[in-house]
Amino acid sequence: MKILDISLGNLKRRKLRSFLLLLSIIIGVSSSVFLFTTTRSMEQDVADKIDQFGSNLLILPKAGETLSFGGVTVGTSFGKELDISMIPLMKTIKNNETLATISPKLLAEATIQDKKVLLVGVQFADELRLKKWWKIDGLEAGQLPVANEILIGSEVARILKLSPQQLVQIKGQEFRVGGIIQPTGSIENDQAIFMDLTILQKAENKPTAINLIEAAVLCYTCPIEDVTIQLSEKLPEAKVTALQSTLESRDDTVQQFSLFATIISVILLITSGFVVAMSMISAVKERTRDIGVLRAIGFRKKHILCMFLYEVSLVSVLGGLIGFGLGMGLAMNFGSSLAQMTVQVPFQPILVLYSILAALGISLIASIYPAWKATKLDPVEALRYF
Amino acid sequence: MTLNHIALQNLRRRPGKTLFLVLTFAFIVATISSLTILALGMKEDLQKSLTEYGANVVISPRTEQLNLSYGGLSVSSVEYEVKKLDSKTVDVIYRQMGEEVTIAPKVIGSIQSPEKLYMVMGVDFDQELKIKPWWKIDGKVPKDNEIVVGSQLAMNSNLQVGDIVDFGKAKYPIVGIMAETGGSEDQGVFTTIDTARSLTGITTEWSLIELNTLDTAQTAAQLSPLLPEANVTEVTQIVQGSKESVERFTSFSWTISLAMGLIGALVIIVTLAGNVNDRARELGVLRAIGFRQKHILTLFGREALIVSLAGSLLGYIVGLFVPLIIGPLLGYNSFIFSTHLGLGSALVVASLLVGMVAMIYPVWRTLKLDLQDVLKYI
Repeated sequence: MKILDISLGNLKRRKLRSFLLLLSIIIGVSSSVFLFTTTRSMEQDVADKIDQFGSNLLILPKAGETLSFGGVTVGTSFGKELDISMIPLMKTIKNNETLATISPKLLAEATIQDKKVLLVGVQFADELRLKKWWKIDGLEAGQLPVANEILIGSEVARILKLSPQQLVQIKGQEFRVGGIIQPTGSIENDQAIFMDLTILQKAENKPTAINLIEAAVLCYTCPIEDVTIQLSEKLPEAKVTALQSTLESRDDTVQQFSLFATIISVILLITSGFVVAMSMISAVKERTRDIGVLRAIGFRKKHILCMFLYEVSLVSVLGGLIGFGLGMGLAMNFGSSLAQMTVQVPFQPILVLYSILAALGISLIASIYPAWKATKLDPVEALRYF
Repeated sequence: MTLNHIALQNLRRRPGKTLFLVLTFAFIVATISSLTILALGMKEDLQKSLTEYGANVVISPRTEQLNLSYGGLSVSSVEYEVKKLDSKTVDVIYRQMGEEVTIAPKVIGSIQSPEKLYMVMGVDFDQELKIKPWWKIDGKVPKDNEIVVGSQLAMNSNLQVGDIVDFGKAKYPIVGIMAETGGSEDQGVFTTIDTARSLTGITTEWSLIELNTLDTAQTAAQLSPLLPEANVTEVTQIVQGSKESVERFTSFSWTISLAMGLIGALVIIVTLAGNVNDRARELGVLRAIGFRQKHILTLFGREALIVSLAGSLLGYIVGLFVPLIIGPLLGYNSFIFSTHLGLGSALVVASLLVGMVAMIYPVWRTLKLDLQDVLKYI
């Protein structure tokens, strides 16, 4: 009978004990794997959601500058126009997966009730996705205005005395006020009329023209500077700038999430290590009596340690493997719905190596020492252990 | 000798195992409570830093003329009179709001130099830089009769620190260049309010006032009736954005704490099941000398009660101090000792419940075995 046979026999004889030991390793490993992978994905999810809250990239014509700040305009000059064909071109950059929302705009001037107003032609679906903070009177959440409807800023509504569903003549066409945007604190948006881009292009007789592009770029995987450079190369006619004001607060927030996720990973690693170590120690201590018997019938210390080594390695490798499978499987299938995120948890095969190594390392350290101490006891003492 | 005695003696007879059980409880409770406290602190920190960021209330003149520019582009070259805020506006705000809000008034105007039209912005740099951390000035913050130029303007006109700009009326040295912000500031010339007033000829009025306040809705509601000539509006992008971020962080930390709680309960169940399993023989002996099922269940229940109460209380106390040590290491100095009684009692009650169930169920299962089999158990 070889030592390995004794180890296997031992595990088989105390089925429940071995099972509980295996279970505690599985719980330790799978919870670490699950939380580690899920929190990383949650972090990315949060970063993506913040990036899609408003635009963080602005594309303007190179020539032409207007001197205005916060809606206070002090001087103007016409810029060249951009072309709608730039949008498919933008999607050809290397990191095109980072372009979450692209909202092109055409600006035009019109006169309503003898007042000059700013018309902004937008693609409503993109624009409303970008400006998630807009509360629109007269429009249900998630509802889009139809082609001949316009959205008007709160100041426009006040000055022109317009209300939802009212009909307005703009450039010889009749439009219905689809909704009034509640005050946003941005003078540009509060004092503008938003309408469908293609209709405005037709009315202005500039079928492909746009003036500026606002975009939301996901910068979790690729820094926005890289995206800016890539876009500038594709669009030599335009000036591509990242909006620092939105980026700074984003970085703060994402950093906070990231720090929290790291703390959790560390805490969990310590906790799992502790749990595995504790179960190992108690499992070995219980067997002081066994060790006494083995010593009494002539086994060497070396043999006994070897026996434990086999047993512990077997249980911890198996536990590490099952734990990884369980944790990863749970994270991939339920992680994103549990945390209400849109990002899927990716499969990370490298973690299987870490799981097994960590389980094996901790178990060996935690079991060999008490086993070694038990072998050093006088067999008579060990046999009295209850 | 009552059952209570037996339970206590049992625990005392095997101090190692008892300590192990108590420590398991303590460790898990300490982990969950310190994590929750840390998360609360981090949430507050996030809320504070997001609230202090950017102008969240804007006061602009109420005009009957509509603005005709968007994203720094203008559709009309028509020169129209720009309305301004009354010179008393800033005083009114100070009197109403006091020190708790950051008030950043601005004078924005233009000056035609021999070659070029400049946009001049006079700001109070102390206040302005507090709410706009993304304004990074490469060089010095200007004093009176000194200017800072936006990055785009500096690049287009080839301006550098040390150059003197001729505005016709006066000549001022450039003491700094503002790093690119991506906004329309990049075209501007920045200086102190007094210098801007003398350059632009706006003698007493204000173009725009930006505020940073803790409670935007309240501030807007208080100021609106006092300033009938102005529009007081919350900047919904910033207000909503920071609210959503904070909410997301809260739900993130709740999900994690909940997951930690579940894992902790599992660990306790496994540990206690192992403990009872080791004592199957002891159970058999108790049965053999005539204890009833009820007695044995009560006995083990008492043990579980003592262990989980001691463990969770210890864990709760440790958990209160851990954030005080870890917090500063992570760069948060705002952790103040607080007892978090609600959290503590929830954790203690939860561990008592988990402990009792985890102990009594395996005992009950063992009791249903045949006595002969149990006593054969080594």
